[in-house]
Amino acid sequence: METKVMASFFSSALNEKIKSFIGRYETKRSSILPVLHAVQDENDWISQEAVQALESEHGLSVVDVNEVLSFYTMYRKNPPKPYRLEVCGSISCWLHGADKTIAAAKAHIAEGEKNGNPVPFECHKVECLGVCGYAPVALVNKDRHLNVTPELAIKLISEYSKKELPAAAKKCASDLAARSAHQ
Amino acid sequence: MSNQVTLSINNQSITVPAGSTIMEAAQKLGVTVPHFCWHPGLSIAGVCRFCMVRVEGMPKLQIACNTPASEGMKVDTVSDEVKDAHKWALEFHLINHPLDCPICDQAGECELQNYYMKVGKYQSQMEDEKVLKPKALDVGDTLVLDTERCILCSRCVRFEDEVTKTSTLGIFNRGDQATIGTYKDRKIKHNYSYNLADICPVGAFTAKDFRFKCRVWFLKESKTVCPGCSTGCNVNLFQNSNQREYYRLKPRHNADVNGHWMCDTGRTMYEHLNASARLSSPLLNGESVSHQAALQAVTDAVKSISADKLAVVFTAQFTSEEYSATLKTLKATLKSAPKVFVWRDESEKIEDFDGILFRGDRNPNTRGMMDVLKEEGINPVMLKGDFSALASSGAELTLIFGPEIEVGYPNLQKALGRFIEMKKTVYFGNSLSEAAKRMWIRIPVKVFAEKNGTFVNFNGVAQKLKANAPVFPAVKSVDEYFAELGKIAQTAI
Repeated sequence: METKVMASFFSSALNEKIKSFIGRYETKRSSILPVLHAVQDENDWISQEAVQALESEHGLSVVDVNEVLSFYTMYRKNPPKPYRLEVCGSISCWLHGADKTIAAAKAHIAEGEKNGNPVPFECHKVECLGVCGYAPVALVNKDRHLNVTPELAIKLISEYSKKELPAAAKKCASDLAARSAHQ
Repeated sequence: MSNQVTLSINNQSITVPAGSTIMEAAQKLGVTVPHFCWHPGLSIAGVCRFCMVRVEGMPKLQIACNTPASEGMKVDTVSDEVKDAHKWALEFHLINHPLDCPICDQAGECELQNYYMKVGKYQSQMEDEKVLKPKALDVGDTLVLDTERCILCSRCVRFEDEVTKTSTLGIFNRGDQATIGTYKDRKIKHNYSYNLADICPVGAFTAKDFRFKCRVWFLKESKTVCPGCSTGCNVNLFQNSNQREYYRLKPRHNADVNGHWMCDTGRTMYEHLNASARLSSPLLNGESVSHQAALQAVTDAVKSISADKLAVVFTAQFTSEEYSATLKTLKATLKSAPKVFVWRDESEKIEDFDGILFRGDRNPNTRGMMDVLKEEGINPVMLKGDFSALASSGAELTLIFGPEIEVGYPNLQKALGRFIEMKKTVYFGNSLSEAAKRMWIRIPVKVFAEKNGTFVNFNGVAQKLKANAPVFPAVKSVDEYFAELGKIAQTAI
């Protein structure tokens, strides 16, 4: 249950987590990286409202938080699709046809959009995922998949699409719906 | 009519004497054609190839300076083709130019520089385009930020974090996109913001108070002490000595007093130095008189009364030497000490301190004044909001030494209102306020930048002031006036 004392922006579990991260380091700003990860894990992305809440509720300066947030690409600053297929594009995977995998996945996603049958996926090329022996490698959110050929990529997309959406994605969708209803 | 030709330049028609060039016709019309080698007082060389214009019917662009105007000629100086020619001509001029504008004395009045700003290519020949970033951002009441000029040294970010602890600024994004900025609509709001413009090694932060007002190379700096409060920050004062105009103050390092910084309040301490903010000549009952006549009148008034009928009202904004000279002269003339009052503003909270530099005592020399009074064996009466001690003193003549910096005296009008109730009032100061106008005599005095003397700060550090040339040469400092007054008093005996 959420603590409704001050109508916190975050869930009580997340608030506890943030507090424990803040308490872990000598200075508050040292905790920004894990705090942002925790926020992203729950909300699926990091909105400016969340950044402001980190300041008003946890005393992390918006300037400090935005410095970190805007530096790293793996923090999502815009609401994402529920699943992110992240294909490694570094040298081993590239030599083993990562580009083809990416092209196939992107084409598949685009086709779904076009046919009015969209899949809850977006596809990105990322840097080395550290499993070069099984190139090409890909992540779906936090799950690792090896030897991701174009065929496997499309299969993964179909399989994940049939599953129930992750909690963070649901929260993200309901937050966005609440926000647009509010406006 | 054969000695006149009519042509059109950019569709405006103009008639010039036959034999004139397109350049001359354009000048007559007020159309600027960029040029280097052409000069109206010299012969035509035609070597810079910069004044290219399009003449209808001619296969290529022509130079305006050496092409004679002819009847019915149609000239164009603004089309993209012509502008492009200007850009490239300029680019060729710049191939071997050293671009050492920062140390070049011509910078600011250099035609190459001016034309580059006007018609230059701007895009460098580098394969990659320049990254464009936000410019002329309003980041507070005092500063403008140009993030393209910024070299990301992070001095300003560290100043905000470490000195003022306000942390308004940060570096956002990374790599070549990294940009200094504030968060959304948050502005830089503290009393030390001008230091950011000082520490910025480039032109990213510029002071609203100073930008576009004066080129720095016209300014001469002099070392002095800020009179804005009892901290006595060491400062450099910048004056354009040709204009006799002061433009700004910047902090000067002194580890014992102010470190590297000064406050924004202190930065305004040049405003009251300039002629427009000052009384220029003595006034007797509102009439301009000579310094000699004013001093004579004061001397006569002093001599006509006994010491107990004379009240002296000090503010702590004069030098120790001035207090000393005043008291010594009056003692010598009257054979005993006058009554001394010290005027402090009603709102003053003398013990206030912002934790960095700025103090509640808005007078630079409270310590020095008290030291002199003690030395002279005088126990002054405080006038702070309550003027009854002065009113009931029975003084027939009151000498008032008004504050030089009136912003430190928000209740100045009220206080002056009480002073003019006294019988005869002589006001030493530059106040242009309404109440001051009703004083019997007003005598302008030198400001802190124009006199030699000592300020003793809150901590007992005595610091010397060094005189610049005065804005009004006839105006003297209080010690100089009283030396003269002493002489007049003696010769009259």
